[in-house]
Amino acid sequence: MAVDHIDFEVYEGEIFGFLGPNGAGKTTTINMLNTLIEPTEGEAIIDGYKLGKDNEEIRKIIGLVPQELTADDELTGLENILIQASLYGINKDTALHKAEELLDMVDLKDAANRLVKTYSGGMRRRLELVMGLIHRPKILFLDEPTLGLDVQTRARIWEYIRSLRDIYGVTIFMTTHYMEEADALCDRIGIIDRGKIIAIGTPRELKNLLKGDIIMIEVENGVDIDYQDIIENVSNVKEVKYVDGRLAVTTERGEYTIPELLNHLHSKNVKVRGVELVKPSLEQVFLYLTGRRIRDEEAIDSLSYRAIMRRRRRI
Amino acid sequence: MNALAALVSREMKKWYRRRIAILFTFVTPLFWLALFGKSMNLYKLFKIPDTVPPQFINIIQEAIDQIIIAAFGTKDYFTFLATGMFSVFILFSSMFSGMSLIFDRRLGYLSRLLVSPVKREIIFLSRVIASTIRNLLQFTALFIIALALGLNIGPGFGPANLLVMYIVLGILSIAFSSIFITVSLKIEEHDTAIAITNLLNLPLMFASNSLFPKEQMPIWLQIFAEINPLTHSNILIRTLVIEGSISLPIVSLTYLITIAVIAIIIGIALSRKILQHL
Repeated sequence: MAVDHIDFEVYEGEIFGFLGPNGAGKTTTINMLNTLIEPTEGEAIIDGYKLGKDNEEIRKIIGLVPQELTADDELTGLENILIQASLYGINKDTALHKAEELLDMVDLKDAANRLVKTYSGGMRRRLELVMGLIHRPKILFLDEPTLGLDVQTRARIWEYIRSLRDIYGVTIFMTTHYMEEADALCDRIGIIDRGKIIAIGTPRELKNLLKGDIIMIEVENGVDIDYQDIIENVSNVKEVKYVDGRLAVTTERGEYTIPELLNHLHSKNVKVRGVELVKPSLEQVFLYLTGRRIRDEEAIDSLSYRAIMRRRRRI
Repeated sequence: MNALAALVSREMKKWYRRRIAILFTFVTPLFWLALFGKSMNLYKLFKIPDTVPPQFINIIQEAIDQIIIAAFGTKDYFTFLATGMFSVFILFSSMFSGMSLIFDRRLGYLSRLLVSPVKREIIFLSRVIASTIRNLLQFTALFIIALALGLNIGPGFGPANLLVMYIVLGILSIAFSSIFITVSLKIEEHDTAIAITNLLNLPLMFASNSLFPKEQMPIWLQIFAEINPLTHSNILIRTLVIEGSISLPIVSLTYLITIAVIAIIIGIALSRKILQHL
């Protein structure tokens, strides 16, 4: 079973992210919500429509940017967009007009009349975004929108996704297994693992599941310091440990604790050599919740088969 | 733009952009026409030996002519074969009409269609239409090649005959394409489709009157030939080309139309059912 009795809500106009390792059930969830897979049981309401019963209505208001690059690579970018528009009954003039606007937004205007097989991975991703948006969906599903892209291209895609939400007010439901992506992009995140949702909330809320920030302080004679004294006298400090020759001070909002902490140490004549603030990351949250790390390495596998097929098809 | 028109034009664009592949679709029928059709000179097999007394030659020749014409409708076996190969060609290329659907499923394009509100039968019909347009365009080339190789058209053959040929082959193409596209609604591997194609192509051709008249076949084979749409299409095409007549045998015409209508109705019904989910 790919997904096991999950229960969650996505609010209008937000970017909601499903974060989890490959095989956690993210794509299965997306494909159930976008009517591609029939759920065995359970119920979902999408903008007031009941999944299973009102699939035709749901299909009109959703857009999908699938994980695989599925634009037809034997056609040009614009041809792909116009076919996509026709599926939603958009007339050609309107489609051309919208296509131009969207292509402009994702900086793909110059390549619009080139065959998609000549596009780079990043360009194809952007084309997929345009195709998913041509009918102005109320809800856009993005399945691993930056899979296999380099860091710079990824950051650009994030910008596009943000502006989509800001300009068109689209509700975005996305999946990712990139921590920094979920953190940078999503208003709220559901962490999914082995078909179950194990935590849900804003990135900040999730990170607060950990006890807080950690301030690492390199000091002389660390062993002689009275830890209990620090916890009692510096605000928000929860825990002090001595790790690898450094003091590890667990606190909330570390950046505001540091000055007070340093003053306190100074008043106790402790000599401070260096300070490092470690913010809790989603990676650490996932580790904390599951005891495992999310890995990136399997990510390429799902693309490679289709890449082979594409090459094969051209022969 | 209308979704049906857009999806048909997608198929057509992909087709004419693969020029090399188009050339290859002619190879097999061309071999049958040029090599089989030309090497099998039936009429010359019945050459009267020199030992026959001269006074009998004309009578024997007359008898041979009548026997061959009775069996093939023409003294020229090549013309008989070529008029059969037109429909066989439609069959062979229709068999691959389901491939685009299988590839679309494989490459994820089908998901794109399925999450959209487009009517499911449009996905099916667009491929039937595109396949039929392709087949008729390719048939045009094949017809010209056959003429160049010496196809004997009947004296009454005119533009109306040509037009009706297109209609007959169009109906045949709709029937075969519908059947093979319907079959590929559920298929996920293109190897499976190729296996089905290889399993069916030659039997369908042999169990018809494409290469030889069905009258001389054993009765069990005649039964197969009788229900094979190829046979009826061949009867119609030969009436049009060899006899040069436009008054078509009503049974064959009705049978062909019926098969096409049933195939397309089943295709629409199944695509509505199967193409709901991935």
